[in-house]
Amino acid sequence: MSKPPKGIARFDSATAMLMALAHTLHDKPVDDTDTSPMLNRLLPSLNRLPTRLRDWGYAVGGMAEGITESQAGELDIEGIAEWMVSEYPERDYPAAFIGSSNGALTHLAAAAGVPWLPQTFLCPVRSPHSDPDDAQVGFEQGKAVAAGLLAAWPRLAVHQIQDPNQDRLMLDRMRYFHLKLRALPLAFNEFLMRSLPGKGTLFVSHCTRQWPVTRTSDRSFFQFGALNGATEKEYLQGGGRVAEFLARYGSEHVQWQAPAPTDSVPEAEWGLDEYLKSPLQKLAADQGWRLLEIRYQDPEALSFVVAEIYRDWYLAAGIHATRLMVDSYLMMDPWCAMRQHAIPFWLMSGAEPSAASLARFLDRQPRYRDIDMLLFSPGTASIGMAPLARWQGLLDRAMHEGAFVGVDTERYPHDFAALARFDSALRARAPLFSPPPALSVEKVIGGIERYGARHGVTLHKLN
Amino acid sequence: MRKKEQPVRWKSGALLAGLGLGVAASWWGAKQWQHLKQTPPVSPRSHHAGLAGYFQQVGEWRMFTRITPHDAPGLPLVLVHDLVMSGRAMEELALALSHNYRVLVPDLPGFGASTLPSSTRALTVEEQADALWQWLQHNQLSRAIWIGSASGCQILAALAVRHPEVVAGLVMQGPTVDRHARSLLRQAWRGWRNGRLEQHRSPASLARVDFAKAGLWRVLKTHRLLMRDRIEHRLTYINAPTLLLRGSRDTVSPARWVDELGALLPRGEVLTLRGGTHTLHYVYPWSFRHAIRPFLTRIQQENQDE
Repeated sequence: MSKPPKGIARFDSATAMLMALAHTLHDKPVDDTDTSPMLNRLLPSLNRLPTRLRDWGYAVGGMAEGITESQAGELDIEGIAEWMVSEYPERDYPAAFIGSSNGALTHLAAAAGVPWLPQTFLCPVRSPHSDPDDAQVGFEQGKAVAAGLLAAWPRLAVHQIQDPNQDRLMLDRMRYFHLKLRALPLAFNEFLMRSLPGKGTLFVSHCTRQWPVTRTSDRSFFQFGALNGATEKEYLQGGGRVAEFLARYGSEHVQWQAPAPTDSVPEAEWGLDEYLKSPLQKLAADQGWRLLEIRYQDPEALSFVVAEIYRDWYLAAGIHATRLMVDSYLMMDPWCAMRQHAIPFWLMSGAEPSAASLARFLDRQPRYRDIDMLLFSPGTASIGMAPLARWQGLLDRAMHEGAFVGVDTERYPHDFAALARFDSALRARAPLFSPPPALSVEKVIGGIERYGARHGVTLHKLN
Repeated sequence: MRKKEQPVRWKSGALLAGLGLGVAASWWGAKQWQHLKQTPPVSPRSHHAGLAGYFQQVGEWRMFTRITPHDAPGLPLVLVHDLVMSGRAMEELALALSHNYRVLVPDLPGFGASTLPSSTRALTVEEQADALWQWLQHNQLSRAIWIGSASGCQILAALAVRHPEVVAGLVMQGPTVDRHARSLLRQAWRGWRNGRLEQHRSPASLARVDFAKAGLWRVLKTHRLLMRDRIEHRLTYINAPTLLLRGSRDTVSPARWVDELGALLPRGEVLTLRGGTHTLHYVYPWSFRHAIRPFLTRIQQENQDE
């Protein structure tokens, strides 16, 4: 396993999920230090600094993962795809997943012992002294970068995303470009053909969530805002919460002035660009694979389904699962969840809609004995962020103990060391057992069919 | 007096330590080299997948051949490796093709398991082609579809000109040596650039084994011979249908060169595999197979009676 190459951010959901799954398939915990020893050493020291210095240090650290504007045109997409597939153990798999990033899907793939290849990944481009709240400048300056990225690989769609609510710490110094692969890089083709035998199953993870965007070319878009605590309307038209937020952060704006939306397209980070389906159908037909699509709109909908599948999986192995592990954005460890016989429940962010998802889930479940909760720190007290008391209330629903794991509640949402700390803290929470035998592909299909409909998750044959 | 003696003693001590280290490093290097030489001719992974191998005395050469597990009807496929590598680098391609074809992968004399004493001179391209022809006769095969990689294409071009009756079709992947960069230095530079693109699945460890087996002297002599050989002078005389395959990121066989070769072939066609690099057969064997299958099917259909 190796460090991600230039042009792909380690703090991106797709990268983190891919690495978490790859570590699990290698039978290693996520914080195995072979890929980020420096980061693991630096983050705890950073946490001791005052808040402003800590934020600055985190942003500068993130900037190191960005590329320059001139490097955008030379981005090595094939090299990035090579790195992605090289993370997984070389062996035959009965199935594979491809498409939208999703934490619950990562757990599902881990249980089945199969890989997942992302369609989308984040390419941060350095842009020092930027104003996160100035959407117009971001939009104008991003056009040239998007054009460069499109030239680097002609089968790409570029979704620039500017979310001053959640990403303002990084947007001071970088612009975010989510790159969606509309065709399979040769490395993906090769990996799938090599690893999936005839009659294997290829699952397409299809998040149908759309977002209003401003088109900048036939394959590039500017998305203002993202899925978290603020609504689409608040990003585009403002409101009381926006004005209060901007005033709190000393912004000269009272509301954001995003360019007028022209289209509605798949959401930059989570949505699937359906162009990918056609090459997948062709490849599946050539190779004799079954091609199935898991379709859902709300990324967290899959968390409900996967939790149920995990419960059945444990039960079939004679394990009565009483521990719940709540993931947060990119903080997760499927290896640990399986070994602690914990049921995973992935949340997209620390915002109120995610807290509401967890509350809904707990309402319908028998009470858990223990609940372990991870909490990702975005570095911003964003609009709609659920306060710690709200999370504590949910943790209190545990019969024995509900606890934040690896979270420094004093420093949240500026607790960056949690990224380096959470995994060892998770492992210390409960003894590690052998995981049940790998979940069969038929059980994955059966589970989605059985539990999906009530949560808006459906399964479709594509060939 | 004492003060003057101290630096001299220090220096001689350092010299001795350096010499000792040098001897130890040479001894370790020689052991490693010997160890590389003893690498089995078929990798354990391929062996497990069913790839077998056998030695034969073919004329004056003792040659090693890998063969895929399933017998399939139709013309066999013969994979000819790049020099100075060996057929080990083509094992995965052979296994990928074995689902539909009978595949044989010989090691050319002097390379891989077909070792020659270091006193034996390096064979020319024509001599290698003749050895390949003899090998085919020895295996009671009258014709085959030949698939070559890089300098393996030079051998195949010579074979197709000298023994056209044994060639039903040719696939030449990343043919060398580009006449616009015919020097060791420029080829090495291109190879280095290509190697950077193949970092995640590098054939470098295989190359070390093959270099050790062939011996450095043979490696250098063969490189010189290959550099002097002009594949472009032969192609116009090849009447067999020929597919030229290159990866779009291949820095060793650039598009201009391959297109030039395609224009010289009477029955040639050029296919570019998007995203592919020079060592396509090793890095992307399944995509290689996928790309050439329509061509192979056509040749097999044209030769159904054989």
